Amino acid sequence: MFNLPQIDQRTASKELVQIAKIQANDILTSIRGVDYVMLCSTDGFELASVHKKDDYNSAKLAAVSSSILAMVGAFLNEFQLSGCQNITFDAENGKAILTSIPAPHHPMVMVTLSSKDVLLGQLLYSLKQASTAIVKADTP
Amino acid sequence: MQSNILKDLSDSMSGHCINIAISGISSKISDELKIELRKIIPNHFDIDWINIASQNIDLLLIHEKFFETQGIQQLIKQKKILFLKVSNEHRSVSSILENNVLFPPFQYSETLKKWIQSHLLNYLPNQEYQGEQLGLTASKNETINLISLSKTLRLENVQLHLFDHHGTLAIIDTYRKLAWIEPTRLHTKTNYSLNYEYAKEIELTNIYQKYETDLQDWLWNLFWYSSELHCLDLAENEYYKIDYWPQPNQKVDQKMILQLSACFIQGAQLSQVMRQLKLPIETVQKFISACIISNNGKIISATESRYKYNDVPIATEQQGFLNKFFGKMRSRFGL
Amino acid sequence: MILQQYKIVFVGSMGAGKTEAIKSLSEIPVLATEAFNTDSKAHNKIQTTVGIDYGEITLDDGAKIGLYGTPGQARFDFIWPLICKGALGVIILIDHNNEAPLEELESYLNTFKSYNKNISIGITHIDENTNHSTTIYREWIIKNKYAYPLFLIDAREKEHILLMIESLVANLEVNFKAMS
Repeated sequence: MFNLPQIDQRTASKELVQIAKIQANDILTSIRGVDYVMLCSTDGFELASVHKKDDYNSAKLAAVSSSILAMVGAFLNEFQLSGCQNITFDAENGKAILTSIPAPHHPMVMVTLSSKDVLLGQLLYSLKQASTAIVKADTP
Repeated sequence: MQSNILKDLSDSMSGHCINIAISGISSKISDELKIELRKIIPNHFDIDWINIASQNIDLLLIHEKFFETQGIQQLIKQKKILFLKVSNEHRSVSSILENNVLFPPFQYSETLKKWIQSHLLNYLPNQEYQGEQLGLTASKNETINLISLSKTLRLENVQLHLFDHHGTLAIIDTYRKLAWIEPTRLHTKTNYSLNYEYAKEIELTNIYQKYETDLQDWLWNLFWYSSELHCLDLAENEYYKIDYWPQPNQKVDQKMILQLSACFIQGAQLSQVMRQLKLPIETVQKFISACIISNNGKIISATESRYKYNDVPIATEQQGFLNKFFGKMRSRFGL
Repeated sequence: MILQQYKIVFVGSMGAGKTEAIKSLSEIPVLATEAFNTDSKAHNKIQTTVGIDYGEITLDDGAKIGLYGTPGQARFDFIWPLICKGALGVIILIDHNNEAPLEELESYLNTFKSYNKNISIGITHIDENTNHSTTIYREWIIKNKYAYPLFLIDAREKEHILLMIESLVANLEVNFKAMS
């Protein structure tokens, strides 16, 4: 039977956000070239962010990121591809990665901004680890 | 807001306006009296409801408790004004006694009707309605009733019972702008037998049994879709502007109604709209009639209109493309 | 004016029924970009649109009309000008059940009239809130002398959405011909 979440439990708890923030901070500090990591709800609200540079409008980024991920998810569905995990944007002067965190009660999006020369493989692996940890924390 | 057409129509027939002042009476009773007097006094007489301080009072209706006051006595004696005292005391039938006292209920009052005829109308210029003179027959009588109804509907706080020879249509409240429709007549039409009266207490109590809807929308749809109701004869060269788009409650004629609305919301001339939309003038007049009845808009001057019809034929690729496109849209949507 | 993009855009307050309106008309399953709604104060519903909903109708000659639904919340306003560009018209849907529906309507109108002139307004959920009279909308139209069509509708009813689309089409026809 599918139990709908209680209304007052729709927003992620402080504890969950704290756990997610720790994961984000690990990525920021352990991987060279990462400048900014932000967590938001899938409906576009910023939950937490950690950064070396403070140039970004986090609230706006949260909304845009959630939109992009939702639209890409719908796009992939057309090919019967499901469970979009990552989207990497390769720009001339840097990279942006949107990572889907499919936590069962509080699904999230992690937004990572890095320099162009970041070790992408290492970053993607760490993002996967972080996602797994957050999902586990949200699973009773 | 009176539309000029109504005033012009009356004036062209009578040239006489009756000035009636009502004083010292509650607004509810005042409205009841206005309805009855409007019904009694032939429609070719216009009525102006004026203030007691105005100069030319033809008839004064005054609450009997204020009649003896110095101010009123002076007014009546100096200007020799025709008056009627109004009492609160209910009688089984409405009656007028020697001292010009009118007792409620006021509806269907034969005595009031006779009194008005003998004391007021007989002294006015004899301008009986000359239907033949205006080249119109039965349809014009319906138009006169429509004018009377239209004016009554503009009163701000009345509750009316609308009916025709099939029975009740609806109870309406002009203050709350609501209509309670008889459930068996939700998408009804009506005809020349349309009539109205002041709603009784019992009818107002039972409105919960009926279907509640917006008054102006309902009136508009009733008058548009009742093909047997003739419309007000607005001249082709007149300009009219509606205040809002009426909402059709049926799919039939929807496209036409919306196109007419798109023109008249800007203020437009009837003949220009008729030409652009390729509709008969009667259809355009019917649209405007329904708008007048539902108190939507007014006649305007040419300078106030914004709609511009370009009658130069356009044979561009774009126009052809647009026509094709709209045609397909309509056909696909079943519009 | 050359119409190259056949699209009609649905905008308006959260929960007004934009996604429902598109679903009622679309002949394809609607591509919905919904996410779990964490803002229960704004609206109680479980899902909310965060991207662009897409539905479609095909005309007889194969031409397609896209029905685009947008998220209503202000934080997604970056989507609005992008999606309104070149549209046949915009349909604003307002939930009568909201606390301040008239203020919302005013706000959406002020925003969207700069993106597209052809606008039609629908007020939804009118049966759910009998405390607010629905006459407020007409009075507001009259007071501001607006020319926009405004109708009281049920967004789930195909006929009502068609009425709104028809009013967009009527406006285009009358004004395009008049301008030409």
